Amino acid sequence: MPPNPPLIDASPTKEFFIEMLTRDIELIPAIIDLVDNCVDGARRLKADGPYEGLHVRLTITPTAFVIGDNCGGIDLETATKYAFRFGRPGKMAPTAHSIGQFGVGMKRALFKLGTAFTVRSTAEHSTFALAVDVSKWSKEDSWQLPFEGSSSAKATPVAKRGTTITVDPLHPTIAADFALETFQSNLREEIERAHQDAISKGLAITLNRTPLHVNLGTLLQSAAIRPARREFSLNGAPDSVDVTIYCGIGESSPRDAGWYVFCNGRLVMEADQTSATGWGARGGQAIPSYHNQFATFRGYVFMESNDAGRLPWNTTKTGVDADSEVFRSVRLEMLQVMRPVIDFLNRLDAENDREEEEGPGPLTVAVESAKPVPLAETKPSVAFTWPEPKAKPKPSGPKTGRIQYDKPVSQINAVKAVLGATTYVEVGQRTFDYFYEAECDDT
Amino acid sequence: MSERTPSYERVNYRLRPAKHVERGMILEALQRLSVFAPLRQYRYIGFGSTYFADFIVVHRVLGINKMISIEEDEAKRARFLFNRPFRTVKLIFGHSNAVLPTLAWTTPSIVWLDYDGPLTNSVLADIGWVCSAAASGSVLIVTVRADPGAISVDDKGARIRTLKKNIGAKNVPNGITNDGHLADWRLAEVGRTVIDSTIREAVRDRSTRAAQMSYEQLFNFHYRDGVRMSTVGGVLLDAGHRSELDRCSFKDLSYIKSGSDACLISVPFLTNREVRWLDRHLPATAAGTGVAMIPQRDRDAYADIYRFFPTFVDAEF
Repeated sequence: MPPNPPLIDASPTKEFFIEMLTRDIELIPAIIDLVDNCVDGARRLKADGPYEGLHVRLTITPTAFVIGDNCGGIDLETATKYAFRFGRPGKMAPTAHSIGQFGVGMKRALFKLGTAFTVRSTAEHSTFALAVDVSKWSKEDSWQLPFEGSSSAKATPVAKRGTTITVDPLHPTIAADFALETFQSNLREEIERAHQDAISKGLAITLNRTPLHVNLGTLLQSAAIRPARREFSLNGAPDSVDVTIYCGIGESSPRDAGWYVFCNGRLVMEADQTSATGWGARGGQAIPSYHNQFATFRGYVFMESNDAGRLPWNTTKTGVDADSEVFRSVRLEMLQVMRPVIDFLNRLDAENDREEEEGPGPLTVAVESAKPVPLAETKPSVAFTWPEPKAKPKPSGPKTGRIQYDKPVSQINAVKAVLGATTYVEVGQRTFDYFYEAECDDT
Repeated sequence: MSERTPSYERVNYRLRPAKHVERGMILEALQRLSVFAPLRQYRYIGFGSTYFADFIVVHRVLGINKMISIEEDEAKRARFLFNRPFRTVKLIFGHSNAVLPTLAWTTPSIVWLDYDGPLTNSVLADIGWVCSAAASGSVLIVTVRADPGAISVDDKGARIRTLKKNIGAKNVPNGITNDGHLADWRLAEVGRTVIDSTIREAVRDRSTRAAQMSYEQLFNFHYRDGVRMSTVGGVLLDAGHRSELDRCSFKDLSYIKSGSDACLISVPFLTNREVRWLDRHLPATAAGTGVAMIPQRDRDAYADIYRFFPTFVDAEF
């Protein structure tokens, strides 16, 4: 037997690694990953907030990218053992309710943005600086990163703790994107949406010195119309997942209709109108596929867990892992709360069809008198409730349908004259009756 | 639930002997649910139509008071209300797809979705609703038409196409590729497979929330009062109830079927005199007792179902 069996070197090349890592994420989600880290810092400092006094400042120019925060900093141990490792080591203690989960976001974003970066951070008892020239590093065999750090027994005041990351120079394509005004406005929009929870709790995020704002979700509510609000926990090891689902109606907007899914406060699905959130379930029989009749539909799902690993997000946080058992359970509940809203919107649509002749119906009136209320102010309700029309639909009598068609006015007038009819409606009804009696009525 | 002519306008529900036998067997089995909860605490949900045949026996035999009948045809509201057999039967108008998800599911329920038509996505949607919400100890029973229809030389693949249209191509099990695979009772077998996996999928999806919910099939009937019909059903159990399942002794009942093997209900044509004569010799281990004038096949069939054999008499009341 040979003393040393031959070995094949299967370790990844760094170029391959960087290429694969950055290929599957778009630029804006990559930048939001960096903001996620800042928000996690804020959560570590003040748990559920408020985050008054904490800030995240992004500066993007055609030459450089800078993100700085005062959200606690990265301590020396985390920096040396975990923060720059690819992937989250299993033994690392998780941050309660963290957004960062996969141990890949920051590195991926930095590689995506440029060819060199620096990270400076001051934590309670330590400070460090790291400068990496990616193009040089990728050619070295070693996976280690040059680094300067020091620790001190004296505590740095909270206000002075924080992290600043600079990427300079940028990749040429990134620099070109950054030069576009539309890119900046898109980035602003996406951060505002992704981190509406943190911003609403007082975290001051600025982009090129402009403060970001949020429009928190609202649902229409009145004495007659009540959105669904279900709260429940999914138990399991090591931590439970607390779920809150809201479902109802909002302003009519086909673009904004659908489901909004949040994991630990981070938006991972926005205005989703696909089967992932239940649309078209069971061949469209349980829930129809989305169409614009449902433009006022709004649903919000919030999943919170101490253990971010139990939450069903994908690594780019741009969608859910539909195969996760947590999301499967949640999706069943989503289907249940959706159905009454869909029924309501179908009835409303039918009512609107009759509106020309009969004026606004009771459901339209109910919608118009309802007011948007923030989600937090809605009351728990297993199902979306709406006013059943008081007057029962005309009992007995066969089911009716409507026929509508266009014909040249000259022809209509000719028929009208023959019938001695006075209105178009009468023309339609009497010609139909004439045909029915002649061809269909056997009695 | 939709059909061009509802079956209550075509068939008198009380004169369907195989259905009658099936109902008797199901009711006998359901009495054993008292292991999980007193039967009075159960709620019954069905499609009562105008006859409410199942509602009447459920109330009489099981003593269940809370009953809900889902009825789509709101235009005939007055007639359905008139035929309501007991005060405690509540009628809810609307399509079952829309009504089922709006019910409260905290009490254990016996849900018998007795459709006139074939298995469709709409039926599967109803099954999904029930199994994702029903409390532990609940029973779901689904009856659908499972008649493959005549085979046509000119129109090969018509049965497969119909099946795909009804339940969607992705629900058609592997290996079902030609009309022969759906002949005789095979369409019913395919239907049971599809229903079973729909139930198990819903149960799996909720198991994170509801402590280890599982499903145990009890019923798999084939019968025909005219066209072939199939009834599939079983009980939904959480971990606690699951451990008590054996106490129900469902397996003692010969018509309980936990898998793809079906119980075929075949009702022989016998005179009342023959019935009385056969009864005197039953139960017997072999149905060989008797006289040769009654065909052996009929005697065997009768021995399988004699406790539930319907006797129809002409009466005025």
